[in-house]
Amino acid sequence: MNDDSTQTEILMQYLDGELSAEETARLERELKTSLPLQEKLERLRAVKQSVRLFALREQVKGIHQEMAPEYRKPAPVVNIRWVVLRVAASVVGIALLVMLYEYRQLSPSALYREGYRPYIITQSRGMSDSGTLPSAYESGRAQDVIRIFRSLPAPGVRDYFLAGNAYLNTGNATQAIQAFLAMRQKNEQNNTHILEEDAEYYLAMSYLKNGEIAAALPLFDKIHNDQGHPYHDKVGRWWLYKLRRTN
Amino acid sequence: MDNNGNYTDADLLNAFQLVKPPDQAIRHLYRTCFLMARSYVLQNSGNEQDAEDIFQESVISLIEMVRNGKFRGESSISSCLYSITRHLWLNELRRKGRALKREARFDRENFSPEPDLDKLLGGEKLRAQLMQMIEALGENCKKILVAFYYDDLPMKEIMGLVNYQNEQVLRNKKYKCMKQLEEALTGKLPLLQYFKSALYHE
Repeated sequence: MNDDSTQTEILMQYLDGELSAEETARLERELKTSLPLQEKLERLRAVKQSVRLFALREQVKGIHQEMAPEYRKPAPVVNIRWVVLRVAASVVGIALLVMLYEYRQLSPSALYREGYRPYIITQSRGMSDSGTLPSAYESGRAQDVIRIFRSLPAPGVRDYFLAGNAYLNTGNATQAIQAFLAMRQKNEQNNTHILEEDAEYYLAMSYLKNGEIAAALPLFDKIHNDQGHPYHDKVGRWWLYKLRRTN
Repeated sequence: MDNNGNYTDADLLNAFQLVKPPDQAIRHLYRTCFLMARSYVLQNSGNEQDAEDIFQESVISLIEMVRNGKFRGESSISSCLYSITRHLWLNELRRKGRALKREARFDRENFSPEPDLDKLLGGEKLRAQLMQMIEALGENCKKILVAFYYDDLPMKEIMGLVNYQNEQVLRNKKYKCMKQLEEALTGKLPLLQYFKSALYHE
């Protein structure tokens, strides 16, 4: 082994904490006076850190591959059907297979993932007021929204609504249902209609998330049957059909 | 961490300071923040694959920010991750040259709770260059170095991973792998500066 190799090996042992106290002290004395040695040590340190950075990426990539498919949206059925309808008669058989596959894939959680989009505040939706809770919601801080909501002595209709959405965002459908029901009750008591149609939709999604299909269906039916409902487009006939099949 | 695998922000900060953060902490980020990030990308000209790629990159950037002491705690972890996602996605759109009306709006709104994200997240290209250098080392080198410096495994266990019969042979191989990477770094000043400024913990 030449001098350079020996030097490199000693520096590696130093980085790995494998030198004796005496050897460490000797090397540190040398480091103080030798710029090339200092530079080599910096490079070896960078090697060690770059390995760790690489390994972190691999770790996150592995978890990503494990987690991300859970959230993937199933392929749009309408498109599959459209393609299927354009081919010959034998496709009827394929279409049946596709429907059989879809049927086997039916579950409230799959439908929820397919249909759920977090509520986004826009002025046209009547949420133009400022405040800590709406601004926390707007910047995606669901846990902060819940914390602020819990600290409110007398939450208003909008507070209940945003808290309901924050609970839903964090996967707590039971609390979301309670918040939306309380919000609707408030509207009734005050004889107001604030965010009424939004709440209808997100309450129905909360029931769906919680697996309470019987409670969700009347709300989705109402939205689907009312062409003027702002969420009408989100509750399509096929989606509703699939929901019924899970009940 | 509670029994359901939920982490508080303080738990996450501690977890990300470890050389190897627990898988559960990273899974927590996916469970609590992915849908929101995905929704943002989908609503801004992205598709499912874009959302997944950008979120994965955002998680790595967040962990690096915490490690480098660049996370100032002025916002929650989830909020910061959401801002990083928006920032990286906007950069990606710019890179792809998609002129969007929303882009102009993005510039007007100062919704990032962590200012100067561009500066804080810098080094994307350098990191990519580094990853290429490590990939070029070969499978056994990667296994040995990751097992030693990331998984903190003893040499005896690493011998099993790479089917080496002798600890000295393994030590020699580790030396060669380190040396190869060290030589590749020689003269790459920006990369060395990146690590110096990153203030990585030993």
